[in-house]
Amino acid sequence: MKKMKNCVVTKRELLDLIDRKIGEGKEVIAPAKQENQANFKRIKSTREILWEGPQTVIPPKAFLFPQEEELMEYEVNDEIKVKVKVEGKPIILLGIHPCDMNGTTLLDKVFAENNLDEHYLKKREFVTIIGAECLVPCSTESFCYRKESVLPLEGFDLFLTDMGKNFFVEVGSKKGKSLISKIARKTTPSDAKKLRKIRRVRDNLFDKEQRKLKPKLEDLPKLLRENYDSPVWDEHGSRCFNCGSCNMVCPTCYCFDVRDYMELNLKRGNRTRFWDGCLLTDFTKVASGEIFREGRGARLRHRTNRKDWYLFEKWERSFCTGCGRCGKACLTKIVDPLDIENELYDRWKR
Amino acid sequence: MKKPKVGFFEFTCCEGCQLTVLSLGDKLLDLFESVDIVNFREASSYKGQDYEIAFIEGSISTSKDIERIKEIRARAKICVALGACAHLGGVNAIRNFQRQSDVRWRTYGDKAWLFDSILAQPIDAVIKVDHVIPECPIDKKEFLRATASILLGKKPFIPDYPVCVDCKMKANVCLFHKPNPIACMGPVTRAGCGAVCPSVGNACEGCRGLIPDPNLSAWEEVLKEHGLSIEDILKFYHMYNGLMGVRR
Ligand code: SF4
Ligand code: SF4
Ligand code: SF4
Ligand code: SF4
Ligand code: SF4
Repeated sequence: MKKMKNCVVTKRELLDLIDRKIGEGKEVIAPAKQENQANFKRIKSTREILWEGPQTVIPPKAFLFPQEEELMEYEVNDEIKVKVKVEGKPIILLGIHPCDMNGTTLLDKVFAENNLDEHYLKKREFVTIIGAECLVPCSTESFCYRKESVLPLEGFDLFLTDMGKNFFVEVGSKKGKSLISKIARKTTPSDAKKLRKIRRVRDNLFDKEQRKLKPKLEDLPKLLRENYDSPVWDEHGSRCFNCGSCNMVCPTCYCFDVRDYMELNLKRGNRTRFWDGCLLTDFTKVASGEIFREGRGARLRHRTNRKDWYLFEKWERSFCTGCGRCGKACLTKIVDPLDIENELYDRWKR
Repeated sequence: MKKPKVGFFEFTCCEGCQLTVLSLGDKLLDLFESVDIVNFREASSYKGQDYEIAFIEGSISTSKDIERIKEIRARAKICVALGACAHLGGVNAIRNFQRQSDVRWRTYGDKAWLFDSILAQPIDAVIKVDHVIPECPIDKKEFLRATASILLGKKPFIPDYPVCVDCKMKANVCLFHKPNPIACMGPVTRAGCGAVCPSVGNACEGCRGLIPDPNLSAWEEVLKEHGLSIEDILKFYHMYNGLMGVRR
């Protein structure tokens, strides 16, 4: 992506602008408090936005790749009529954190590879992403700093950093640029200096607070390759429910199941896709009834390898952004990739 | 295409599943248009005996039940267990964990001797069941989808994965993670209900039955971590899954 000019806006002016858009009927979705956690909600006012953690239960992927999505409808009479559903509507995703912007960028790559996924891409086309930098860790589970995910790579329209009265704004697209053109002012050298200082402080804080990743980030594929047969997999796996929570909540898990549903008249029906996950026992069940990835440990290994070996090598970037959601969601605390990798590393060195 | 003939039958239960069918609204008319209902006590007094598909609700809890359900099986080509009582024994099976003479006295008082009640059992303890539509009561959407599949001659899709999947899709804060945690049976219970109970802040009590490969040791570990005793844990099982040793 060609780098566009950064700028500065006052917080007040930006929030007023968004509130006006909401007033005009624009759908703005942002993290908001839900009990002791958070979730993305359609907000009525920017006052509802939760700018700092805790993390939302599920990631923003739900707006691009919904939990349940009708792909087509059909009618079977003398001939078969099919209506494919490729739909998008303009929404603003606001207050998206760097880990989730990186997650979305990875999904963008995956859904645009080989067979273009029109259902995803159409939704993506309509979405405006306004990210917000994290200056404090969102939770004790997160480890974004260890995964080079405290800043977004790309995939945003605007990216805001809180500088007190102002936001420093990185502009990622024309869409983003035109959204704030009326309120943006040029950055000065002192803005740039201030930003560098904020990020230095942030780096130090995150480095101190987040759990360490013992192996080097770039060595993870190798670590996983050489520990394919480690007993760690079955030790952790024996306490796995195969409940798929870790898949559902992950910003980079993108597997789905497709089901056909006929109406009772057996004439009309639809084809719908649902989130699926490699930790579910039936994920690898084939038509003959066999399950070709048997065993809880093997399934857990597969998930971890997807994140930090197979897809890491393929796309040259870890598919775990360190958002910490899976570690939080897992009731037996066995799935957190950083924990697993540290454990593999400790035992491997010996 | 000739409309298949269908019968609805009830054994020990609250008939809530049949009432769910009756409350399908517009979709009920679709059902009447797609099948010929020859036996449905909740809807009509007519009783035909020439059905091909039998939807059976309720658990088996008298020796008369056993004879009657065998007759139904002999007539029907396809038998479908409707709801938790037929599928698992349901709440009726709670009695199985109490003294039977007490249970009979409490239920029938001094007329207890008139009733030949036996331990509550799911229908597949007595007959071969072709399909199961689980839950207490059944879910309307699932009933319609499953019935369409059966009419097509296909196996209905009923998930074998845990309720946590549905619960996460709803973006719920897990009950175990709330400020005042609540123990939940979701990790070992079959999904498909849309996690209705956790979505309103109540524990899943397992009414859709255990998944085929529940990790009970992990679940008990989590419950113990949350301070539950073995008795508390057994209460969970007994609500709907007391018979899980017999069948899942
Ligand atoms: S690793 Fe944890 S969250 Fe994932 S399926 Fe297993 S028990 Fe569930
Ligand atoms: S693997 Fe876990 S920590 Fe990593 S991105 Fe997925 S949910 Fe977040
Ligand atoms: S994981 Fe890191 S980037 Fe993501 S929300 Fe938490 S602190 Fe922010
Ligand atoms: S509330 Fe229950 S069903 Fe929902 S995620 Fe937690 S354990 Fe699973
Ligand atoms: S959440 Fe559990 S108890 Fe409630 S309907 Fe679903 S399976 Fe039944």
